Amino acid sequence: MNAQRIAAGGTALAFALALYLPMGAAAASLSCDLSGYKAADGLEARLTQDAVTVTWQGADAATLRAQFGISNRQPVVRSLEVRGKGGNWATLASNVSPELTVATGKRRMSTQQLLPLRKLGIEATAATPEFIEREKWNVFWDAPLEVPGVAKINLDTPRKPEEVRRDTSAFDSRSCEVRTNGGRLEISFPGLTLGIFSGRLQFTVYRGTNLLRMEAIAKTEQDSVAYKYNAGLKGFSVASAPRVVWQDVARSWQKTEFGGSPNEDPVALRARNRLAIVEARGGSIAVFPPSHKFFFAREIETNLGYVWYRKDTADTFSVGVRQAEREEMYPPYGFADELWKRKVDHSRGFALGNFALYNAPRGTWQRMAAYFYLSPHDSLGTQQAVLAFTHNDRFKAVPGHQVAVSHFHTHFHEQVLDAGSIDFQPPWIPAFRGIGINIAMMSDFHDDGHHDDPGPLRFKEQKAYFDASRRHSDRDFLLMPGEEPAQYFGGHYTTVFPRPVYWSKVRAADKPFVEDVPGYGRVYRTANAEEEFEMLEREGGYIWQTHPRTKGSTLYPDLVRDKPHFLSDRFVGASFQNLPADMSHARICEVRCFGTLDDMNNWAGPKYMLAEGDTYAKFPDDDVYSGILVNYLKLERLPAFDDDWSPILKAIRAGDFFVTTGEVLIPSHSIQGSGSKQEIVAQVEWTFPLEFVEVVWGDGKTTDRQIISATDKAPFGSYQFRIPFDATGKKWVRFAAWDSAGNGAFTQPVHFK
Amino acid sequence: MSAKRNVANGTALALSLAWYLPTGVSAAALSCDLSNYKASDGLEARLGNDAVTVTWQGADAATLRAQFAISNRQPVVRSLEVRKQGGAWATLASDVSPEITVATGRRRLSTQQLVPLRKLGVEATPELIEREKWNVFWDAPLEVPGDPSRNLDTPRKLDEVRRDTSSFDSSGCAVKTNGARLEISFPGLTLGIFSGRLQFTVYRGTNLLRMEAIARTEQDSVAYKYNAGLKGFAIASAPRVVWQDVARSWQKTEFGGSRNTDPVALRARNRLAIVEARGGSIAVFPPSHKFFFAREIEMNLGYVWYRKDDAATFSIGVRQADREEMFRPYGFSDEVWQRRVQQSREYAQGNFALYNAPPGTWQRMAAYFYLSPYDSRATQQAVLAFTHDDRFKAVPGHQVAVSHFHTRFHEQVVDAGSFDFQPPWIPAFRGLGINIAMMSDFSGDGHPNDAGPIRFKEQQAYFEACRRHSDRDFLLMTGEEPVAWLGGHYTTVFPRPVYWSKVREAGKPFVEDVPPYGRVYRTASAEEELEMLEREGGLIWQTHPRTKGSTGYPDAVRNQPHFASARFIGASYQSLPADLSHARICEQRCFGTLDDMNNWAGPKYLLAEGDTYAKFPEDDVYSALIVNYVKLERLPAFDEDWSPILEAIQAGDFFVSTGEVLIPSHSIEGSGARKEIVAQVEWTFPLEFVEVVWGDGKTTGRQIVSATDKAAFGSHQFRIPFDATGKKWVRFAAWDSAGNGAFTQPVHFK
Repeated sequence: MNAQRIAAGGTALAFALALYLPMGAAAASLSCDLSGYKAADGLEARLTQDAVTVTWQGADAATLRAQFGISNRQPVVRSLEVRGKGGNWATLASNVSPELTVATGKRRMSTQQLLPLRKLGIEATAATPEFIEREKWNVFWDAPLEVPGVAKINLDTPRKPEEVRRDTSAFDSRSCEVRTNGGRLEISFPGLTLGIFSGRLQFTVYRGTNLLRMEAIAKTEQDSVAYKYNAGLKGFSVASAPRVVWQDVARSWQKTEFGGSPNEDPVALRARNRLAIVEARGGSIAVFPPSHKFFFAREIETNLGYVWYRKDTADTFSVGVRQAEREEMYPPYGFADELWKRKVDHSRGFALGNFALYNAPRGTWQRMAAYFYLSPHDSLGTQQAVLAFTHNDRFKAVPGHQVAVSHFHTHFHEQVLDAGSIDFQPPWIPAFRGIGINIAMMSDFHDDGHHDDPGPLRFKEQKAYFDASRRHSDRDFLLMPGEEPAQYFGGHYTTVFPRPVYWSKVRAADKPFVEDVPGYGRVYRTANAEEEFEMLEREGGYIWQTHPRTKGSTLYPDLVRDKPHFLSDRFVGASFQNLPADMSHARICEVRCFGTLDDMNNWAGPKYMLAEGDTYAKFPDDDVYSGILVNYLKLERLPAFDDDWSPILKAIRAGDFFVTTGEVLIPSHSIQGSGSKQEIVAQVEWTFPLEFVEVVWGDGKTTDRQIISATDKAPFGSYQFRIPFDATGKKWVRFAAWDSAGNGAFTQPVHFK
Repeated sequence: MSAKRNVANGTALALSLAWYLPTGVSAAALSCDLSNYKASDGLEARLGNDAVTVTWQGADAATLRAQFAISNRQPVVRSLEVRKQGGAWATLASDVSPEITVATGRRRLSTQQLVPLRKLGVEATPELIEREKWNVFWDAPLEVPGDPSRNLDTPRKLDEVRRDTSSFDSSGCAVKTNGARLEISFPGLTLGIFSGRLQFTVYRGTNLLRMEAIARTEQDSVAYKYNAGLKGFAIASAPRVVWQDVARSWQKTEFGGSRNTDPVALRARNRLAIVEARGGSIAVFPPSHKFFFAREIEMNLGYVWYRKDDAATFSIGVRQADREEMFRPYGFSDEVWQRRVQQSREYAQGNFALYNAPPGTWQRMAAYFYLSPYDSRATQQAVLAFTHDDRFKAVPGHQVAVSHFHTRFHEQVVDAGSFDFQPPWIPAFRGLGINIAMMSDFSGDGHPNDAGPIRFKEQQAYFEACRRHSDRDFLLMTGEEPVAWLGGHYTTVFPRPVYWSKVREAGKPFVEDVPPYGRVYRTASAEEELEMLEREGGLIWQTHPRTKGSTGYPDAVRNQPHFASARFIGASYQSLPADLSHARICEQRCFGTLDDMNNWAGPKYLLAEGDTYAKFPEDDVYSALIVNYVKLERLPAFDEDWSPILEAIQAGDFFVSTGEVLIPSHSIEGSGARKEIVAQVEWTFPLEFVEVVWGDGKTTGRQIVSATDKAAFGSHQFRIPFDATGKKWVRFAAWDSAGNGAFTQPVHFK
């Protein structure tokens, strides 16, 4: 390092000084724009001849230091250092360089999205090129890397080999830029080319935590791009970092000490918590992807290996994060041959047809991120520090709330009937309970059972479903036997009742709408939307549109916005999940989900958005946490299975819940004030450094928002936001908070009288 | 309970006192034979009017107390109590009663066993079938009608299978001192076709309580499995059962669901469930190895259970599953996927052999309870200490080696399209502390009988994948189970990867250089195969001797040159068959083979084998696996010469272990006729016995030294003198009270 140090104040200065500094043989002078940098305690940048050094305050009074340079026009991390409280500086890595790879393919619409149009007989007129161009970005059933792919799942198939490209990052970086953004420093390097993408590479450090975020920020000008990425650092020295450790899917500690021959490909690690840790002298470096944003919607949550290492030579290795090349098969089950064969096909079908990747519409700045955590501790201490960001991959208990999830096709009644015992405990129950879920609203009878049977079979299967749910509920875990009936109301929707309700979706002309059937009690049979609605009214049931505006609900709820069932109190709203995934968005499901939510509230009275899973088989070794979003229902006491579940439904209908990825929580919120001068008061708690909070409102026609940057907030914080607003002309208002890793939470719209 | 307590000294006294004691309204006087009880510190029994109370010293200066009685001629555990050092007594359970269930079916010979016999021209007489059926692997007695091609005399009939629950007609009990244990037994047990007694055993120095049915059947050809547990826990005082799921997430039930009609099988990590009670916990688990019969895979089928019996009470216990399940099939290509789907299903439907119960044998159907003054987390730690946290503990100067796994590595990496694909069986192995895995590709995968082009390419993939995924403390050795020219099934290992086609077409040389592979062999006969082994320094040993595809072996080849050669190390060892009347694992088939081989020839050994297929980190591999501790200071890297490993094996410098019993060092000292076996033994469960076994070239004899006086978690140097006169060889073994053990290899006298 050059002995002469310069605290650079701006591009011109830095540039000019750099030109006049004596240069070493190997080191070229570094041009770095520090005009956006503002010196602040615990967050410092210093430009020297060939490097920029950022020093920041980490967690537990640790200090971190990272030195960045450019070598052969390629950004280089000259060193990553950490100093524990009262300790010495330890170098965790030297001269490691970013490596990003992308696999890109073509985004296509699915035939699944056209089915609702076909049902309505409007496919010919409605499925215009403009419609397809817009709706293809909401696709679920797409697997752009599968060539030729399964026939009939998508339009315009088979896929061709030349659609798929695999590229590695190339740099032509001549300078860097350091910018202060609240409690962060952003160090960026232009000149990144990543196949069809181009842009910059950015490192971000945050005061108060040992996180180092590395990301490509890049865009493509190509149409219809779907992609995935790997991102890592290359050039770790085996001599000074002799080991990478991780926990396997069953939490046994695993390691590599690089005793095998060099790898050509990244070794995908199916690591618990999506976490690998480099053990270095004097500390550790953890690597992991964003905990939710990174994960596009799938049918299942098999851990596909989201971190990797690669022994590059006898002396060096790389580590990073990755997305898999393809979906894999979940373990099929079935004691009966018939079920086994069905599950084998089902499992294979998911794996071959479904792996949608990320959207990259033309010109959008995609953020492809990896996190590193620089730790003065050993791997175990480092693991604990990293797991704190996701509360140990659990949905943290919030006093006065129950953690509720919805929409799971686990085929429970089929499983217990196949096992021959209602006491058979399926593997998805520990998978749910292990992440802190209290209420699971299930959705049997979705390619299982006989959902269109007029009675005899259907009621028997429903009884098994109800008995199994009753049997496996517990004091802090309630299985609510809901359903996704796709019946008379249009599109797909979830139904839940305050108790198990026997209901056949078909009614022969000679059968009554409701009757008592021995063995079951009261049963309903419905022949049309009116009857289905009448049943909901009588039984106090609720419905909401699942996956609005995509899959089997494409064009819904838009098409039913004037229907009685939509306008009624029974229709709660729609569902929320990470579909589609677009790394240029600051929010999860920004356009489809929030678009639906805000539109519904402009159209009608209060409608809400409930987190859904919409997934199938699950196992304790899966990575379910990252694949799920949850609802925190305001509810002190969880009803037992044989109690009345009305308190749950009332809380949902009142909008007394917030949706979250888990990392951001909104334990309380209210609207205070009166008349036009009102204020949103929201208590927010977070782990990753917060990004922004927002107030969103509608006037009955249009939606608007106020975004408040929160980049000044330290990680693992809690804060009461008070945001005044003028209620004049506003029909409803809602609140949301999003963190810098793409996690977030939002409350439900509140309508003004 | 009567206020007046008696320390009973014998049946007559106990009986007569009992008659004269005042009885309460509900309590009948208990007749209990204490004639074999000897009072000793930390291990006391006292007979009260209606109950016998045993009090013993546990771990960490805790004191345990259990009170047993008979109610309506059914044994009852009146209370289980624990007191930590300086603490007060805490009642963990009151009035719980034993419940044992059995499922019994019929044992049959497999067609697999007949294949080698047919090849040898051996006639399958009724006597041979009767004898060999007890060594069966491919049998699934509870699968009705079952796959008719797998077994003789099929299909199975519904009425072969019975399911029964224990019933008692206990008129009294007996308390017996056995070393540092007390055994409390109750006669009058009927368990379907079995009858016998129920026994509780407590051990000074540990908080273990073993409960077991000791029962026999007079019926022929019985195969069975059992569940065993305690019934009647009060939810009010024990509100929760907890366990870790297969991925080690803590799970619980608080009995908030409706009443169960069947046991709820818990797929619990470490085969362990824990009742959280006021003032402590009760863990329940099965014997860690003995409980597990050989299978093709190690899926956790759920070995513990709970059952909510009514609104206020529940039961817990150990269980064997009703059937095998399907392992997770894999295959990116359709072809591999379809093959693995089919295989997964076949294993599940044809293979679940259960335990042998030959007529008149005393089967011991055991469950362990651990009474703890601590919470469930600390109790878990205390129980996991018995299995070293389900890891094969590192022993200085030793490498933990396993053999015989058909994980189809080359197929997996070729299918995945990358040598860097890490298959799930690698973390499964490494998580157990294994250092050397001698693999066996090309058994139902690849083209084992290809003359060269395909075979060598597949071998290259196999070798490269093993090279890639070996590590500093983990070596993947590219072995095979070739079934080529030498008869039966056997394992081959070389000191380096060796290219070898098992067929040699006319005109092809025995050995040549083939680019890019280098030296390759092709063999056309047993002579050539042996010649290759000699040239390359390879070793072989008979896999699953006397069963499966080695039925009739190595007996049939005992006079062949390859058997007599130094290349032929011996045979393999695994828990097949499982017979709970035996004190040792694979007592007759494996040790019979070992001892016979050493009587026939020079030193031959028994190496632990897995002989299993797909594995996953969430499997319960530890309980199914037996390992070899090879005396070897430093593990060679993949590209180094593996001869040190082969030399240690060839020298018999290894011991076989289930993991709980270790023999870190052993030697034979003395000279001439007066010799002594000196063996350092380390154990976790209370030890049962050690033994010296010897042969004179024709017959085998043994000296068994009881070790029931040894406390749990001990270490001892056994010195056992013996007269070497007329002895050809001698070996040493140690077995614990839970059925775990370790043994060294035979040492021949010059």
